[in-house]
Parts: sequence; structure tokens; C-alpha cells
Amino acid sequence: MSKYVHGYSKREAQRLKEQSEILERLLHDGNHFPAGANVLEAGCGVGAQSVILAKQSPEARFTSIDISPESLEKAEAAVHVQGHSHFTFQQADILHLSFEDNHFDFIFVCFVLEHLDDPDSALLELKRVLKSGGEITVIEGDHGSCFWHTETEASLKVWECMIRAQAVHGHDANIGRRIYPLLHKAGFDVHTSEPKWVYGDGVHAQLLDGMVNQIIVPMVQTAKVRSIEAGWVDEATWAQGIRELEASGDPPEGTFFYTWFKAKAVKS
Amino acid sequence: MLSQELLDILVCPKCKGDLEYEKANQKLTCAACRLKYEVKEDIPVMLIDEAESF
Repeated sequence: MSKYVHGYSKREAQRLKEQSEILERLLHDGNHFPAGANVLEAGCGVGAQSVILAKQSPEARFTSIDISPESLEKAEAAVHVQGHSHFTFQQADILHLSFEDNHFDFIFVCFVLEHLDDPDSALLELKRVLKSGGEITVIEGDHGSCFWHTETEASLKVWECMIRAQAVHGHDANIGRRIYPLLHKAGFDVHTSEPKWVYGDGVHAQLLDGMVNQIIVPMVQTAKVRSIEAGWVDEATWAQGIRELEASGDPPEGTFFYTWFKAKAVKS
Repeated sequence: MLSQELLDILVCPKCKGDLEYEKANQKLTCAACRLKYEVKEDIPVMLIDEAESF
């Protein structure tokens, strides 16, 4: 952990709340679904976005799907703990959805396409179950649209390993920049598409610390075992890279910039 | 127990045809594909590979 967090433990809950509110505004601004609307959340994971969707659109009806039963269990618990009852959950494959054609008014996809072998087919299947005139929202990260200070050799190495760990499975960690081409190819009318960047330095110290130590470093760490086993990096370099990446979250020296991409498109 | 709302919108992920809900053994059956999809703790498992043939 960075030095910054020391001495702030009493404020931890508040800090986490502020951080999540900043990211919530960044990614969920404009994601309001009207009362009674049928919304498909495709790839809900552990429900991190589900609870925000529910809060923003308390009268919409959500169907949240994921391929992982463990994640679904957590998502269901997360929305129920917050008292949301207008959710149904289903274990499903995004390439073979179990809904009729033209069923949903809205579809929400967040941090999903980057994990798929075939995002083109997934978007076609999503389009099938979306009503004509219905709207799809897609939010994806782009690990290439990112920089930090100080970009040391080892910190760049661990970052490259994370991208490579996805690439060997045929998954694209830089998919954010492809949202428009993917939606266009699938036949959607893309109405808006924009980068949603977040930047932290000493002026935004809490945001910087939260972004680097709560989001970025844990995300990179998920690639550790694969990267060392594959021989892309040795254990000492990995540890050094993580330390140096953590230092980018530590003001006044550290700064960090990351970009998500968000698009809204309509089925004509 | 699955809600009627969910049952109304579910179709077979393979053929997109109607499913029959067997409450007693918590299965969703597609007669056309001869597949049974399990319902585990109220969450339907709509995966073709995990469905049971009959």
C-alpha cells in the first residue's frame, strides 16, 4: 500500500464512498431507465454496477445475467442487501441468450466485451433481444489509454503482462477504442461515444490513491501467476513493478491517468 | 420458485422455443430440443452445455 493511506483508517469508509461516487458519476451519468422499462444487464459479474443501476432507476425492471454462478450469487446478495427486489438473475451465455427476439427496452454492458472470445457475435445476439428503437449502453476500459508517473521499466512490464494475459486468451484489453467499430459492424446506430478519463495527482489525492490502490493494482495483480508461469517476468521484477505502480498513487510524486470508453447505440 | 414474470420471457437458448416449467423438480424443459435446464436456488441455468438430454 502507498504511504498516503496511513493515518486515514478512520476515514476509510468515507474515502471509499467518495471514490465510488466519483467513478459512479463518471461511468453512470445519464444511465437512467424509466419506470417499467425492461433492462438487460449482460455480464453483471458480482453486481458492482447492478446496485448503481438499481439506485439510479428504482422503477425499472432488471434482468441480470452472467456465466459464473459464483458471481451471480454475490450479485444477488448485493442487490438484495440494498433492498432492491426488481431484479431477476439468470446463468447464461451471452452468445446464446434465452430470451425472445425484440424483448428488452434497454441493454447495459459494462466491462464485459474485453473478456469475450467473440465480441462481434455477442453484440449481434444482444441486438436480437433488443427492441427496435431500444438502446444499448456499452462501457469498456482501454489499458492502452493509460499513463502514469513515474513510468519505470518494471511498472511498464507488469502492465504489459496484464494486457498479454488477456491477449493469449484472444481477449482484447484495449477494446475501449473499438467500441464504435464493433457497434457499427453489428448494425447499431451509434448515437454517442466518448472517452471517460480519470486523472489523479496531489490535487486529487484521495481519487489518485483510490484509483491506483483499489482498482489498478488489484486488477494488475490478477495477472501475476499467469505472467510468472509463462516466463514473461520473474518474481523479483513483478514485485518491483507492483511497488513502482503503487508509487504512482502516492503524491506528490505520483500521478495516474486512465480512460474508459462509453457509447450509446440504438437498434433501428 | 421462479417468478411468472421471468417464466414469461424465458425461451430455450438453443432453439428459442417455449419452455415448460416443472416446479416439482425445478427444471425448464424444451420438448423440441429434448433438453432440461436446471433451476438452482431460483436461478435458471440457461446453458446449452449444462442442460440434461432426455
